[in-house]
This record gives sequence, structure tokens and C-alpha cells, in this order.
Amino acid sequence: MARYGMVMDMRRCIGCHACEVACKVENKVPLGVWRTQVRYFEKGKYPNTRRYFFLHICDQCSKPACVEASRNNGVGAFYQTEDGVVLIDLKKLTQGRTKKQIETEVQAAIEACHAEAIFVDPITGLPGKCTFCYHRLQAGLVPACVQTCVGRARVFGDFDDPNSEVSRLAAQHPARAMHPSEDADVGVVYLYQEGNLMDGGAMPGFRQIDPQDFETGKLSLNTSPSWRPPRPGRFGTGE
Amino acid sequence: MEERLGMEEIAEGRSRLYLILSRVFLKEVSPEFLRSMREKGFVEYLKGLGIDLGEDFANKEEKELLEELAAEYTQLFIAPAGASPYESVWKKGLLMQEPAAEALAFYKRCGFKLPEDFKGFPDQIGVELSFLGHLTREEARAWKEGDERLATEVMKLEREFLKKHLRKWVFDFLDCVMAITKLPFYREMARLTKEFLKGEMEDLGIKLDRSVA
Amino acid sequence: MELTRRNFVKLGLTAGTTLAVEDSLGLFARAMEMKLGGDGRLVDPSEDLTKGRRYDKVVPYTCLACNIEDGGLAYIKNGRIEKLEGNPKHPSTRGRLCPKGNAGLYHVYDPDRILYPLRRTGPRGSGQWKRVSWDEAISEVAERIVEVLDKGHPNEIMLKWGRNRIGGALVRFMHTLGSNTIINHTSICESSKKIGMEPTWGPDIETPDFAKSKYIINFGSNILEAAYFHNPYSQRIMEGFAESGTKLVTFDVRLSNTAGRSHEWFPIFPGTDGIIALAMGNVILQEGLADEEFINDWTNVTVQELKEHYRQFTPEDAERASKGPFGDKGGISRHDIVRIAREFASVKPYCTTYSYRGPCKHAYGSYNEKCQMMLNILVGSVESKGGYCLPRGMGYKQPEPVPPPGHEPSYLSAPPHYPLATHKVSHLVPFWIKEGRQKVKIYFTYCDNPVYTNPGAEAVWGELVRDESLIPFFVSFSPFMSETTRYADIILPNAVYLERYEPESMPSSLWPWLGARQPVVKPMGEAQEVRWTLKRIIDKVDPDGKRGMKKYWNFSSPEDYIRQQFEGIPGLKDVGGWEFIKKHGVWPIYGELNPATGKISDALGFEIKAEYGLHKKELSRADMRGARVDRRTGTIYKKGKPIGVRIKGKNYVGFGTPTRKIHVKVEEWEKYGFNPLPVWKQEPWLADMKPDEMVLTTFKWNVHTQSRTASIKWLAEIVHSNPAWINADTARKKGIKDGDLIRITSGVGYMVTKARLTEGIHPRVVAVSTACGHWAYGRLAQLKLKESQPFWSKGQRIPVPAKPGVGQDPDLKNVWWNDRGVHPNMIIPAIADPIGGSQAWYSTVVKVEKARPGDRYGDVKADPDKHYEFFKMGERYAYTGDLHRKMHPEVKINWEKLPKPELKIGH
Repeated sequence: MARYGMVMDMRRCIGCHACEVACKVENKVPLGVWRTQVRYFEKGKYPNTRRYFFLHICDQCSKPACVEASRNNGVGAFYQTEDGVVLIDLKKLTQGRTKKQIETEVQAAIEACHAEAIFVDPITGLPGKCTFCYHRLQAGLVPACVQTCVGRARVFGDFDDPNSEVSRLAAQHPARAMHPSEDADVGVVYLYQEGNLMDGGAMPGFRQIDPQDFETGKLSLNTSPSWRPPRPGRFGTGE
Repeated sequence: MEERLGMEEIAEGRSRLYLILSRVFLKEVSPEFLRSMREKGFVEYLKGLGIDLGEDFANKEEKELLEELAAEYTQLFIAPAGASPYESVWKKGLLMQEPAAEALAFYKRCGFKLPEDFKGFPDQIGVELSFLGHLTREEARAWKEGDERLATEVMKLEREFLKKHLRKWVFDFLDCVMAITKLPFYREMARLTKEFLKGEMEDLGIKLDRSVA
Repeated sequence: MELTRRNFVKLGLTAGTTLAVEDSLGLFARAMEMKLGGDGRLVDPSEDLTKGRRYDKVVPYTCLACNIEDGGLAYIKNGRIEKLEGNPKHPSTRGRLCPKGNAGLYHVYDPDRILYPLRRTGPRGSGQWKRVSWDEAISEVAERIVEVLDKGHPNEIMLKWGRNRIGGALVRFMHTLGSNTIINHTSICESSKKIGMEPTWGPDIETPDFAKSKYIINFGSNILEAAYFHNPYSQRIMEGFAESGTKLVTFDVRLSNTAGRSHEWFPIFPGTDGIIALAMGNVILQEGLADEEFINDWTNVTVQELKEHYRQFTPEDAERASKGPFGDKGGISRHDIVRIAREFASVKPYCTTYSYRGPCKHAYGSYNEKCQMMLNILVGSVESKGGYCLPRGMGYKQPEPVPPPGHEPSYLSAPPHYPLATHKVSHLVPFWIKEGRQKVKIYFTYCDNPVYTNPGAEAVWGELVRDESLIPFFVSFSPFMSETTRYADIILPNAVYLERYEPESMPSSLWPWLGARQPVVKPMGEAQEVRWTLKRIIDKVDPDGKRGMKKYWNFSSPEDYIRQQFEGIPGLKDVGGWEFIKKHGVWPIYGELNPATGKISDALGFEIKAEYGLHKKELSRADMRGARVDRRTGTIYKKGKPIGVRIKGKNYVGFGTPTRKIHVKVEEWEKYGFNPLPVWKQEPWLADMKPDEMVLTTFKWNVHTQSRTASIKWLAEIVHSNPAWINADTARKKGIKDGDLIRITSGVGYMVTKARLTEGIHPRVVAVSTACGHWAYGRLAQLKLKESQPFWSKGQRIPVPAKPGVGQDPDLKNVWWNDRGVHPNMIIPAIADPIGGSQAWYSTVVKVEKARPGDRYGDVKADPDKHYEFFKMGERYAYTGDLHRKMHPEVKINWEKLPKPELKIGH
């Protein structure tokens, strides 16, 4: 059985946002929420300043906390496929259920996630997250972000195959998960990503343009301090 | 005592009105359209209904008025940042998105086709209203031929189209037109369209959005 | 009566039966009878004709979101573009697209797109338009042209373009009309870089072999975000990083992404790239690290000459200059200059420089460019693997007959006091028109927005196009309203790039290719591609061919035009010509994209090899037949034309110069009193800066182009405002905190914007991006959604409070930003490099202070008269000006006998 995963080779990332935009176009992701996001941060004092990039994305954990939370607080609409991809069954989530029930389940999943990878689609009111472009995988294509990555920093493949490029890369180069923890292993691994980049050193978003963001050092999908995620309110009232 | 209107007449009347309203949004007011409105008592009839197209529309010199109307049409529906008359823009923010393809598919399903060299957009308000004009015409024909079942089925299609393709955006669009237009003609015709469509939807059992005033 | 159902029906029945509604009635035709099926249903309710496969067809195209011309594939479903991806067959792009390319479909479906010809009904810029038919619009344009041709002079018809990739049609149009007033945009782009390079080795651009390079010295380029050729070169630089251990050293006033990812970043004072490159060259020559054989064999100077010339450029001087006139923190130390020069030379020839396009955007930017180019010549990494290679382009044809240029030279197109600026000096045109140096009756603008993109912006170009006495008739081909197009008299909307037929080629990698654009969807509405519009105009101007114009426009369709351009090209014609390119998007196809490596591989699975040493290709015996060799220079001539050069007994193709060698010494420059050898000259206004002044510079983000992407929502979400980058220390000293309002004042005006404190900029530089701050382009760019005036209202209309949650795009409710930026171009004066003509973008002297009471965010004021003064000052440095000689005391010529300024055709 395959175990799909992604390697982020940070030697090659140029922070161009092609992945971010390709994802939005491919998956019709609305403004204000992201399935994957490029974040910048600067280290050092002038003139010894450098810029780094961090690619934020769902970890596709092997023991997904969102799946467990979803099961314990609802009908288990969040589930993981046999090949390791964590998906949301929207039909299961909404069919024959009350607003309160749906809200409870989604909120629990959101809070359980260590990476803030789950968002609420502000147009449909339904939850969303990176699916490794599962619809593309089923057609034999790599995820949209991987396909377009200019620097070839994103590599996709099967971690269960020791000869796959992702396995090889993870084995041969300094690799780490976004949030290393004792028990869970993840489907997304970073090469050459410096330690404190993930641990609060990252500037939220590429919003260097918005001076307000300088004040928040929190790693978050929320990019402007005044923005709050839309509460799961209107369900199934999409287009 | 008011005479009773037959099913055929109702459908026929609706069809005509759809076509008239469609014409307002489809293109600029043409000399023929203007003349026919002025000469055949349409303007007065509307006035009686409380729809006042304004002094100018009734009496202004034709050439000057047509220029004015054409400029206003452009400002509203053609030049950037007016009241976009396309369903796709209101629903998806871009031209020619799923609503356009779906509208075209709907026309096809019902056995209607647009001209080969059609350069417009299938989800332009004028096109969608014209389609309803044609559909209701078919309904009228069915009633005329005594085919009640066919007529009922056609009405189902009318309902489906109104619900799927107009309900969610057309009232916002018409409110927008009314808010920004300078000419009573477009304001009043938008208002007429709004009230008519409200009535259509209510009559066909479609629930309106709470936000529709 | 009221609006009851009954009354509606009666309205239709009685008053409405005779209304002329043929347009609506005749819109639909019956394709089939309405009949009930066996199941009592009219149509299958579950039948959804829009569902199905992910896409119906894939159409290859060439991107034009910016000008890198990446190869792309468009995935079409139900006649709509679903997705854009890179073309895996393209040797440069290798299947990948940048974010702008990914977002390109927004251009096609932008709700603010102009889809019909428009004619203004109110005063220029009032925003009042009327739709007209193509015929009407073209007739009016043709009439005005005929008037000028019959009563005036063809040169009074001016055409200026910003981005011209329509394969020669614009020049053909102008020459057909007999006009030479053809203006491009290159002087605000990189003209001085071209002028630094062309006389030296022939072409106007280089193609470094980044992937195989060991050492890259980057002078002022932000290649990882923009520049030629961002996508293909970024791929190869990162390949170098990960696979070859390439070291990247960047000199830049600001920490761009490129500088931020470099192994070493030196924040130098603006414009000092040249002196640093000269000092490095000095080190290389003095320490014997140069490739002396290459210099002696292949250049028009000797090693000895160069050593003597370079001696004056010491690392000490360069260090001092790099720190700026006040010795600010930063710059580069003499030790580092020596070290880097040694590191660079030690890996020769697997080393290269890169400079697109910081150093050239200064007065005397041509010198800067030459100085950095010299480093490659000194170490002999020219045309070497991993080195500084010639561009490999491919040509396509111009269908015969080709109209000759007009009879009379045009001052605006070839200003005589800038004789070396062969790529024109477009940004000074408004001043020349104002002064009456040439008259204009009609101005055609193509894919250009000078009122936004040029120095002075509204205060210079806006002034020009608003004035009907200076520009009596103004025609735009733009499919989008912009700061410039809103002043047009007539708009003839072009199709957008995904809807046009255009031949393409770019030297974007070491493998030359030909490609094209083709309509991946039909042009929307009544948009029409400009090649066809131009033909229709000519047909109206010369309906019976009496003016001799029709013969140059012998095309039956836009596709026919492009087919003619690909006819008879050797190699291509054997595989089907245009049909091949239509199918594959690019030719030749060098191999298959190997998904595991991301590289193009040949049939055996090995990465395709590049050719190097093009200059050392030997001339064949057939080539040499009838040729003669100049004994002194070694240049080989045939039929009066130089075809190669003989070196040490071998006949080589050489470079594209008159002697076929590299011209380190450019005698043509000396003729006009400029230094023929590489030197550095600092702009006097920088040298004379005051201690409380700073330098304003501008820059591009990786998600935006100069001006046409600000409304694309996915890109705008990432970058939608442009605060001024200012060094944290500098800001602290001025009492400025992050996010504070500040006022930036230049010699021509001021702007009020927000400060963004950073550790990533030189303490004396303030940087503002030009992508944001639109005031007339698209609802999103202008952020008309959230202002108190709702975006529905326009100018004089009655403002209506926007209903919460009501908008014309449900996604626009999710616009979570309310800052659209402040554009800096208004306060930047227009000054040209006297050699190459480049606008001095990166040397505007300004004062930066906390905003004054009453200042509001977004205030921008510029004085057209002050702009005019600066223009006059700038012209004093032209070779005909009174300050030219003072700037060149070292040039030993007869200053009394400088060539007289001549009005010439050509350029």
C-alpha cells in the first residue's frame, strides 16, 4: 500500500508563490483562507540579514488528530485514506445533521490540528484543507503545487517505496517535520529548513506589506490581527 | 367585472413581457424599439401602473434621446465597474464561469439554440430573460393546443431556470442598476423587472432570499 | 393600477404586443420540438450537460503575463479555461509556471474587461463612454488617419507600445502609413543595459549557464522574483544550489528575495556596482587571474592596455564609494572586494555575472553595465559551460512584401542628442512634444500605461494626453481601463494574450526555440486581436489600394498571418510548419521532461546537452570562398560584410561586432565624448547629496508585473499594498515606527505612505514597489469595494452605501485587506542616461520624514513645472549639453569638434 507524502526541499524554494496560486486556482479556494501558503521571514540585523521561506501545508499525519477529534465529536467526517491522505467527507458531515452538530465536529477538528491546516470556507461555510489534490492523484497526476513549483522544491511520492525520490531525499538529507512530536510521523517532511523557522520565528504570511503583521510573531493562517476565521455558520447553503 | 384570463393568455402575456424586458437589457435602445414604445401607448400604460419613464423618454427629440440612452447603457452594462449584467460575475466574480456553461446546457436541454455567430454571453441577463420569453411562449402554445401535461412540464422548466439561474443574483443586480443609473428609463424598467420577477417566482413557488426587499 | 400579476400579464398582452423586440425574439431558435417523452417528462432532469471529464482539450500557448514567454498548456472544459500549467515540452520552462502565469486566466474573465469598442462622450478622462460598432470605430480612426496623410505628415501619427509581442505587426502598420514616429518603452525598462552590451559583443542580452555555474556575482538583479528570464533562470540557479554547490553573491540596495537567498549580500550605495566591478577587475588583472589569452585573442584591447586602464580603480576607492557619500554602514570592504574577485576568478570559466536590471537604471548606467560585463571577459567565461553565454534565439519571418520605413526621420523616435540610445528615449517624449520638437496629431497606445508606469506618471504623461492641443486624437487598444486608456477618445479592445495568434521566441535558456500564442478560447465578447484591427484600419484607409498600402496586409485571417510567419523556416517546415507549433506549442522538441529530475532528457534518458563556444564555430570552406581577411584586425569580410575573424590561423564565426571580436574599447562612444573604455561615473545629484537626504528606489514583487496584475485577486491577496521599506535604524533616528505615516519628498513632489521597517535595506535608501497604488485600474486594484463610496458609484454618481455582504463577487466579500498602496512614479523625475537613454529610476534624491499634520495616507502631489525643470537639467548631460564635458575630463578628444546632432531614420 502506498503512503503518499511530500518533501519540501528548502534549498530550492524561491518563495515565488506559484504553489499557493496554483492551489487556489486548482481547488477554487476563496480569498482569506489557504490550503497551502508561502511564508517569509527575515533573520539577522543589517547588514547581515537573510530571508527564508516556509511552506505551510497540512502535514497529513499518520495518526491525524483531526480525524480522532472528528470521530469523538461527531460522525467522523474527517478520515484518512489507505494511502495516507486526510480528507473530509462533506456529505457525511452535513447530511441529516443540525447546524450545532456540524459546528461542534468541525470546531473540534480545527482545534485539534497542530498546524492550523483546517479552515472554514467563507463562501460555503464548510471546512476545507489540503487534500494533496486527491482528484489529481486518482488521475495519475501530482498535486497542483508540486506540478508548478518553479524551483522544484516540492516533491511528491510514496514514502513506502524506499526507491522513490521522496524516500531517497528524506534519507539522504537533513530532514524534519514541521512539528516534530514523539509519536506521530507525518506525510510532509522539510529538508534543510532551519529549526526556529517553524517555532514562532515565522512571519505570518507574506504580509510583509501589512505593517501590522510585524507585531504578531504567531505562526498562523490568520494573517491580519483583525481577521477572525468565519465561524462555521451557514452550512450546505452554498451555490 | 374583470374578465378571467385563460392559461394561454397568461402565458402569452408573460412571454411578451419577458421579451420586452429582455430587450431592455440585451442591447441599447434602438430607434425602432423607442418608436414602438412611444407610438403604441406603452409609455402611458406603464404610467398607469406607477412606472414613470420620465418626461424625456416620452417627449425628447429622438436622436438626442437615443444618444443619451446609448451612453447610459454603456455606462451601466458595458464599461468597466458598472452593474455587470452577467450571472457568472455575480456568482463567481469572473465572466464565463460555470453559470454560463450551465445556462447554455439548459438551453440545449430544452431544445433551444443560440445563433452560430453569437458573440454574447449565455448568462447575460437579456439572454436569460429572452430564454424565459421563449419558454413561456412554448407554454402558451401547449395551452392553446390543449396539452395540459406538456404545459405543466414547461412550467416546471421555467421554475427550474428561475430558481437555478436568476434567484440568487438578479435582485441584487437590479437594485444596483436602480442605485446607479441616471436615467428614469433604466431605473423604472429595472424596477418593473424586479417586481415582475418577484411575482413570477412567488407564483411558481420559489422562495425568495430574505434579503430581497 | 398597481403592479399585480394580472396587470403584468395584461401589460404584455395589450400594450406589449407590437413592441419591436425582434432582437430578443430572434435570439433563440428551436433545435428540436418540445414533446413529452414516454416517461411524461420533457427533458431528463438529471441530465447535466456540464459534467464530465476534468477537461475537454489541452491547448499549448505562450504566456504573456509578464515578458518571460514561458511555454504553457491551457486546460479547457466547456469552452472555459479551467487551469493553466507549464508546457513540459518547452526546453526553458520545463513544465512549470510562476504565480502570474498560473493566474493568467483572470485576464480573460476579468469582469472589468472592455469587450466592445468604446467612444468617449464626455471630456477626456470623465469616464463617459458609448459603445460603438467596430465598423464605426474603425471608420472614425481611418478618417482621422486619412486627414493626417492628406493634409499633414505621416510622422504626425505616433504609436507607442509597452509590451509589443505581436510579431512585427505594429511596425508594419506604422511603416505602411509612412510614419517613423514609433516609440517603445525600453528606456524605462533596460535600454542602458542593452547599450552597454550591444557594441561590446553584439546581442543585447546574455544567457548565463546558471545550472552549471560555480560562482554567480549578481549586480542588482532580482532574478528569483522578476527580470529576464525569471522562471527558467530561477529553475537553473536553484539547480545549481542543490546540485552543483553554486555560490551566489548579490549586490543590491535592498534585500530582495534574490539577495535574501544569496550566500552573501552586500548592501551597496545605489549605482556603485560599476566601481566595485572595476575594482574586482583590477584585482583579477593585477594578480594574474585573468584569462590573458582570451583577452589578447578575442578582444580589441591587450592585457597590457587593460592592466594600465584598470590600475586606477582600487578596492579602497570602491569600498569608499560603496558606502555612499556619508560612509553609511553597509557597502563592501576592500578585503571582501579582493576576496570575491579571487573566488570568482578561481573557478573560471565556470563563473558568471548577472545584472538585469539594477545597475543600468542610472544616468551613466551604460558604464555600470559595461563594467560588470567585463568581469566575464576578463576571466574568459564567455560562452563557456557554467559561464556567460550568448543568447540563443530563433527568428521567424515577416511576410513579404515588407513596407519600407517612412521617408522622414522622427525626432521623438530617434532624438539626435542621444545618438547612442538606439533603443530610444521614450520617457522624455512628453517633454519634447510639449516643446514642439515634433508635432503629433494621432497617438496610438498599445499595451502600455505610461500615465502609471513612466516617471512623472500623471504629472507628465497625464498632462500630455489630457491636452487635446498636443494630442488631438488618442486611440487605445487596451482591453482594460487604465490610468492611460481612460483618456482615450476611442478604445479598440484587443483580445488578451490567451486569445491571440502571435509568433514567439526568446533566448530564455541555452536551447533556442520557436513558439507561439494561439487562442485557447475564442476572444470574448467583441474583442479583436490587434493584428486584425490594424489590417481593418488599413483596408479602410486604402480601400482600393491606390495608396499602395493594401499589399502589405495580405492576410485572410490572424491565423493566416501567423502561418506565413512560420513558412519556410528550415527544419520547422519539414515537420509541418505552423501546424506543428499549433499542436505542440514549441519547436524543436529537444526531449522529454523527466519527472524524476525535472530536466529534459533525450531518448536514452540523459539530460540534453547544451552547445557552448558558439563564437568558436569555425567557418566552413564554402563560407570562406570569396572572403578576405583584414591583416590588422583579423576580421574576415565577404561581400563587404564581416562574417568572422581569424585567430591563430583558424577562421571563427566570432561575435556580432564590426570586427567580430569583443569590443572592450568602443570607439563609437569616444566620438561623442564618452569614455570608450569601462569606467564609472557617479550621478552628480548623488555625489552632492545632503546628509539628511535619502535615495528613493523602486522594485518589483514576484507576484506582480509593472502594472497589469494588481487586480488579479489571487495575486492581489499576496501583495496589495506598497509601504516604503526603510532601514530600522534610520527610521528610529527619525522617530518613525513601523506602520507610521511618512512623507517622501523629491524635487518634483511628495507622497504620503506607510513605513515598513526592515533590516533588509541600505540605511540611506527607501524603496517603494511600483505594482500597487493604481487609481484607475480595476475594482480590486483601486479597492473600490470598501471605500465609503461604493464601487458601484462612479465619479459624479450619487453614492449609495454598499449593502453589507452584497458585492459582485462572493469572493470579494472575503477581501480582508483595505489598503491598496500609494504609487511612487509621480514623484520620480524623468532623466535619461546620456549614453543608453535609460531612465534614472534608482537615484531619486528624497527627504523622508514623519507625515505632517494634515497629511493623509495616499496623498501624492507632483508639480508638472518642476518635472519640466528636471527634464531640462537631465538634458544638460546629453552629449550636446553643457555639463557633458565636465563629466568626462579624462576623454582626450577635440571637444570643439563633436559630431553635430543629426536627425536620422533608423533605430
